[in-house]
Amino acid sequence: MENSPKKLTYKELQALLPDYAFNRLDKESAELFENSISDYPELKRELAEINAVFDKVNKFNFKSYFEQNAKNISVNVQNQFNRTPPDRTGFGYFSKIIVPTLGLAAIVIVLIITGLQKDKKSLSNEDGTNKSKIDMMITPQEAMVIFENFNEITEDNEFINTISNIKWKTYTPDFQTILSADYKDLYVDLYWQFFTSIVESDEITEYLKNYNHIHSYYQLQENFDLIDEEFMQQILEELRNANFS
Amino acid sequence: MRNIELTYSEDFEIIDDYCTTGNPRAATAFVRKYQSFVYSVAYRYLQIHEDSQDASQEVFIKALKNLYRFRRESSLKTWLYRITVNVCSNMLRKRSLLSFFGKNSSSDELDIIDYSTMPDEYLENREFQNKFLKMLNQLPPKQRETFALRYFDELSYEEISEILGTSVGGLKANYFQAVQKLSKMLKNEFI
Repeated sequence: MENSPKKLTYKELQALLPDYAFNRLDKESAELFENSISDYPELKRELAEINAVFDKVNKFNFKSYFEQNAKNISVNVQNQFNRTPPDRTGFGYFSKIIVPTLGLAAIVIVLIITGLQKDKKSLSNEDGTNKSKIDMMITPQEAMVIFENFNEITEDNEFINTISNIKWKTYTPDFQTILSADYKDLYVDLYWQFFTSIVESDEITEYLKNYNHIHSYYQLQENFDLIDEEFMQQILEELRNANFS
Repeated sequence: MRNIELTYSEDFEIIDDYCTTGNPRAATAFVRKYQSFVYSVAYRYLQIHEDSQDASQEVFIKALKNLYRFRRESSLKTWLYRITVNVCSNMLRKRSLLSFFGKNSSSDELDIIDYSTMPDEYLENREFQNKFLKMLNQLPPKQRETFALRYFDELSYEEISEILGTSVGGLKANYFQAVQKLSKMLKNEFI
């Protein structure tokens, strides 16, 4: 029995129709298309119509139309590119990401080191011995004046919680090396006193009378290192004048 | 002038030469090889000669700056097509923003070309080409792009599939529908 020649379905013919119309099919596919389309007169009509109208379109050289319109692009790109030199292989990534990252890291390291050295200097006396900021600013006698009425304040539960927290933070190895044993307790008390105020020094007295502002303790705890000596003296002055009645 | 691009027979030769030495000849060859393709894609999106030229320049600047990042998993044409579509989308967004604030963009100044000195045949051709491209822009974007990439740029269905993310079967259906619709529009035009 002889095999009947392979025929394309309606859908397959539709899919190949434009390529057939524009001569884009290989010889074998084109022959198969021609053998199959005779079974579908409506597709044959469609093909005839497409051939008729696209005959005119096919005569136009769209390629040269686009080429003509695009002809200055290479010159303009070259001119523009000469103003901004291109990145080279790998170097773009290196210069854009790695170099700035290394630079930033170097700056951070320098800042940390200088910051540490500054701290050490500020904690050293002229004779080279280490003493805390507190050592230099007030005497135990002064502290006694400040904390004259201290006892009644310590009744407050919130305060006790806070002070224990502060004490825990204060007795870290760093503080223990900085502070002499005599001043350690004083320092803790003073530390607490800072937390009983807020940054605006003129409100310290008010805050010392009202211990509900616990959040300010944390605020000052956060900012303690940033308080300069002048401001600290201002706070101490206010504390001396505070009326705890 | 064309002999410059003839020194490179393959895309990877252009890429290698440009990326390793920064050779401006490689950059020129690259732009010359693809400028017509990029322009035609840009023109379909923007429909204005000036804007399409600006967009094409931007595409090549971006492409050249990032050529060393091209991973060669797709063809250069596919990669350029994606950059062009992105650049054109940005330009269209900018254009709509400008028109929202009442500032006329170049979209209002359709191709100002002095035709008075050109031969009649050229003018006739030019007019028909413009008309045909306008018809093309009436098609749905997928059909329009399938038609353009196949008919003008002669890409294979596999390449178009990679660009548009549509199956080869779907593309053939799109192509047939686009041709059918354009045929009807052209018929009306000629009658």
